[in-house]
Amino acid sequence: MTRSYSELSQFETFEERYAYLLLRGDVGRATFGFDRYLNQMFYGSREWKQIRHFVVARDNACDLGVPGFEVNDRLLVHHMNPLTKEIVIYGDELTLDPENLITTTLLTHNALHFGNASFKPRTMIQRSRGDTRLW
Amino acid sequence: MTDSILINTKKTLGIDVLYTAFDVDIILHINSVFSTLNQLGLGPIEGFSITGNTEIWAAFTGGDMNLNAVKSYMYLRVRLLFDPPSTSYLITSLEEQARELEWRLNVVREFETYPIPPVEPIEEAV
Repeated sequence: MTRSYSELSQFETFEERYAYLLLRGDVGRATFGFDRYLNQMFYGSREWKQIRHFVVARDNACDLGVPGFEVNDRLLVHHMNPLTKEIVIYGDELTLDPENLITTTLLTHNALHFGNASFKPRTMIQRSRGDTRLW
Repeated sequence: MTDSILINTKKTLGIDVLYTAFDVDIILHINSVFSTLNQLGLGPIEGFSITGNTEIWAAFTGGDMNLNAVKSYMYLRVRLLFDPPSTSYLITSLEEQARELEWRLNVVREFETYPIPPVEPIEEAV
């Protein structure tokens, strides 16, 4: 395992954690997305749902587990070391090990897989007095 | 390491042990959870409650290590009562975990209460 939650948690900022997790993969390949039957079977399993809840609770539903980056929309639990078809079929520990999992948003997740270092997460916009115009 | 119920719960909630402003609220919620646990058949039959940081987990569990999950269960339930998260994702995850622990603690209790009865030999009809 090249990336782990223990190592990731040593980094405090979002940018540091993002840089640590960046994969730069090809669309579909990294998340075995081409094998839909396997994808649906795995992400619909009871074991996955249980570990997913554990990871979300552990990370306080924050993007990459960084306090202040609460996820309010399209939460995903990301495998830090991407799964392959073989890993899922033969039941490698990478699939359900919390050390390999981290809470993200869909945007961050896609940026980790297919983006680059310039990605910036969408942060909360601070409201102010008289702020009645839409963004 | 302390085994105080109040101190442990405050620590997991992220509250400093020396900060006592919320102790009354937390004790209230802890005692509510103990009444739930009592209904699950866990702990002393007459019920259990705390009044400060002197009560320890062993007084509730009787030293039974199979009941260690009550500590995590206490955190999850008190968190949801005292400091509910702002995101639905986290609320759902905490509730799901609490529900699973509830079920597992129930399994421990069922095992103690309803052991498999010994099989008696069938008498042959005369």
